[in-house]
Amino acid sequence: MTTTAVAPLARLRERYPAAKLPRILVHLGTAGAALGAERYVEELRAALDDRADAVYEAASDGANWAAPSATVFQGTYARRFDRLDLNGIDEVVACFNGDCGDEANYAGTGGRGLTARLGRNNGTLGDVLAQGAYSALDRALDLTPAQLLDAIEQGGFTGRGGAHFPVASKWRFAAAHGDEPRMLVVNAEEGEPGVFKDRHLLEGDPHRLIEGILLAHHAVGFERAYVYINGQARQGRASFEHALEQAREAGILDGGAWNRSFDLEIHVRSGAGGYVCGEESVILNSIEGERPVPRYKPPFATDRGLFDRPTVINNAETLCAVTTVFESPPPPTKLVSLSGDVPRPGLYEVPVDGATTWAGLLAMAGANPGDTQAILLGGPSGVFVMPDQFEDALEMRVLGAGGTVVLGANADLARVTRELAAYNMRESCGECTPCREGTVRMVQLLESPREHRDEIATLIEVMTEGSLCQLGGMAGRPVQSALEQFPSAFDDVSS
Amino acid sequence: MPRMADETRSFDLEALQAFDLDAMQDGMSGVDALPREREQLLPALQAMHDAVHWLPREAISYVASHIRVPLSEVYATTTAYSELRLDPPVAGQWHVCTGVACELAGAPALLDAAPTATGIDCQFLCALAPVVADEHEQLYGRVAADELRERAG
Repeated sequence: MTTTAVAPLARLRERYPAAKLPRILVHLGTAGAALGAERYVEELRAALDDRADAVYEAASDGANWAAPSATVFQGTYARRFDRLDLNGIDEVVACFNGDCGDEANYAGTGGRGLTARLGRNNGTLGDVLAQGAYSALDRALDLTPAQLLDAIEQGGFTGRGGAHFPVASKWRFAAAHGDEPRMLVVNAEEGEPGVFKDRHLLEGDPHRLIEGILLAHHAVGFERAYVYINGQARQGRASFEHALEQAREAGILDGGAWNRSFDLEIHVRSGAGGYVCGEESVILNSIEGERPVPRYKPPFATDRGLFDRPTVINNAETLCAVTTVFESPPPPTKLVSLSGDVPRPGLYEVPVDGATTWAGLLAMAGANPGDTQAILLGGPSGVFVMPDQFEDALEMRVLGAGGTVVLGANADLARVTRELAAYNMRESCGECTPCREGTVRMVQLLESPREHRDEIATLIEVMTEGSLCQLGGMAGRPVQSALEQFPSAFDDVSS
Repeated sequence: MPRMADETRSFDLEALQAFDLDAMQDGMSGVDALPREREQLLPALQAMHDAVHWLPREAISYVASHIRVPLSEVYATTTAYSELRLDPPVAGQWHVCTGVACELAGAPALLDAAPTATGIDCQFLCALAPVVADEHEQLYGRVAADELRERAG
């Protein structure tokens, strides 16, 4: 009998079964913990008495607005119960016992794509295997590296960290270096204010990132992978390390489950703060134990990066996205971290399909576009999306890392602009003059921007052209956007 | 907030008593467990920081000698990371996130309600704004001014 491609995966699923239904997942994670959601685990266990083992701790499903929450999984459906602090646990218990009311539908933000398993698994390998984890890897292993690269290219995957660079091209640049040992750096630093997507991915579905790393390894071939996680994302790191241990034990990391030898070392590192630490060359210096400042380019990392080796640096979301490569057609989605003046702030996976607009995004979050002055997109490196653009379709190129803060009717746009400029000033690492001096000057000029329009324009040009990295290079963007789109907001102080 | 430890103060008895010697011992064991390689510089500083909750001069010297990197280099690196503290945490200190979403959701009112609380940059829990953190970096979401006033006393 010949072994089929599914056999190794089927063996894994048999060895690691999913938890039984019905069951209750209480959504903890960083968001749940910040609202004291642990107490509902205890309350539900007490209420369920001899069936207390059906209550599990799970991560957030992205619906932060609903937290603290719990989801009941019955045979064919799941239903989430929101705001347990206001509503109590009685309905949750009733649903577990079979009475889920009329609207027995799952209310999470996910369903397919990268968020499909967020808040729907109990952290065991069996649970995520049952929901499709490692099936893309299983399929990719039947392909040659060149075929996998072609599939990634055809899927149209681009970097989700903000630069939107084609994934297949970057992987090919590194792969072109023959037998030289190559490095993979996973950027999960996520230090841009307003962005919280990687934390959700790491806490809620760490196996997806591991699968993405192994896919990249199959396509390119690395000696080592370094996963660089934001220093404050402690739960994310713990969850990722726990998943690594599960995958190691199951023979997934070393390829033993497929009777192969992957031969890849995976190291986990934590950052220690600083917006500039999300810049890819800063991460390289940080991992090497050097001062966390940017490097000059060229050389590009794919030629000489970490420890002078050819290096692929991918955002965590990018590697999670490539696990959807065999879903046909691969859903072009982007994770959007949405906060500010909306009824339903949280993590959204939005289709970037040419049809979804800013107004559509606002509607998902329950906001009325008419009450919205602007959407800040991209935080301190970002721009303001104004109401006359709300009917524009979302574009991957424009979305950057997907951090959006909705500024409602009462928001003080001039104040927000000044705060962003002050943030860039505090976070400038000081390595290059245009950014170190420019960000300070910008804060001063913003005290009376309309009197200094020419000077500000020149300063932005100097910082954009002359800064060593994108912290300085993009520090002028929100200011420029603000002065172009709502100059009158600055009138009160400039007069 | 001062970023560089004051030279004279690090020799002063009060400062030496400000860190817990048992915690320092834990930190040293954590550092000793790491290979003596340059790439372990940040992990070593973090091992110390996790144990002691800040980096007294002695802790930094210990890391410098373990990794075999000049003290000046270790200081230069340490000061570049905003999460590595060079002063002991203040007991009972509350922090109010002043990221954009928290500002919109009432961070200024929280700071008014608890005058001893200080502002900090985005804590990445924007969807639960306004957010505060206690001295142990535990985050709390959707915090009301009264609640913070009560806790921060």
